Amino acid sequence: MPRVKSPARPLIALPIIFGLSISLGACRLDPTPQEVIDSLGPESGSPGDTHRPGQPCVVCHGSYGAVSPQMVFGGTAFTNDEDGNVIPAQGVEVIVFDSAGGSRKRCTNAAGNFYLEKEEWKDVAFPLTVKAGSRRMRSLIGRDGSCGSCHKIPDVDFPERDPETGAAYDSAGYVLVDPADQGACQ
Amino acid sequence: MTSTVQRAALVFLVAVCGGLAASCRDNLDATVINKCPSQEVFEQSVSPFLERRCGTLDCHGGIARPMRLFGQLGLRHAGEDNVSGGKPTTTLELSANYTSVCNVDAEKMNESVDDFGNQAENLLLVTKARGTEKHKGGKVVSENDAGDRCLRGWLKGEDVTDACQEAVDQLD
Repeated sequence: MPRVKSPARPLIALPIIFGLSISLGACRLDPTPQEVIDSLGPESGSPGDTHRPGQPCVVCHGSYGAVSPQMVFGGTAFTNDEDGNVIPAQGVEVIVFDSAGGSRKRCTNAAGNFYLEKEEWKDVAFPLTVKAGSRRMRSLIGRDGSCGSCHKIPDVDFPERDPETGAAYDSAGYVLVDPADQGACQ
Repeated sequence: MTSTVQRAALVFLVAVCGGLAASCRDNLDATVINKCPSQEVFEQSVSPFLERRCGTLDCHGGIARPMRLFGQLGLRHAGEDNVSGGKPTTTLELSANYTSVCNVDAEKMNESVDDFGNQAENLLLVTKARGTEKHKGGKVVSENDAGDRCLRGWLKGEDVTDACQEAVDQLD
């Protein structure tokens, strides 16, 4: 018995494939930043200038996360209190220098956070260097505006190897500044 | 007619699979030794420049990045107990960097070494650094600047001590 071909099947499949493509495109899932975002956990307070200290700001406040404000650079400075505990460093001057000779200055807030909005530095040229208080960062920043991407905060899933700096084999540890640098920047 | 075609296709498929299986059967333990310019020069002069300029934790110092680089101020080798920003780059890390850089473009690197570095400008190491090949990190060196001379000189077997040192000094 001869088989009867059904020319309608491909015609039916086409709109389905097209629809799926559009849907997937709209999601624009990028597993690499999404995995980072998912690992950050839920919001503990309300979103604002002082939320999520130590976390990689630009992963959400960048082109993928698309959260407002859009940032070109952001992080958290810490210092040590009299007992040696790591605490947020407030009122510290942070200067970011780019490769084209430009620079921008910010002051850390009550949570130690600081950031620069994209609109404030549209032509920023990587790599960057940073001075936080009296300390100058020894390495360059190649492409990631989130301090927290490299200065990961140690936790149970990410044990520190250096108890003073929080550094590990793949983390530079806390952005630690001198306690005397606090309050100099308003 | 259809059945003849199907039979022929089946025979062809079996022949292809048989051929593939036979070709894979031999030399399972064979290794290919790729050529690369001097490891000594790389470790002494080239690696310090690459570590500083390319091996930051957010670039080639990323654990999953191609041409992964270890270094004092970047990623540390998991087989050792060092932290980023801690002790100087170790022998193990320098050796790993050499392996990493040599194998970015292994076949072309072979050709380049055979040709005494005259084809070095075709290597991804050079084209990506110059930004003539798409590179997420953008243009890292310009033709004939210190960084470019450091990389190309090493690939040509030249003394690159001064060029690489100058390239590092420019980053400070």
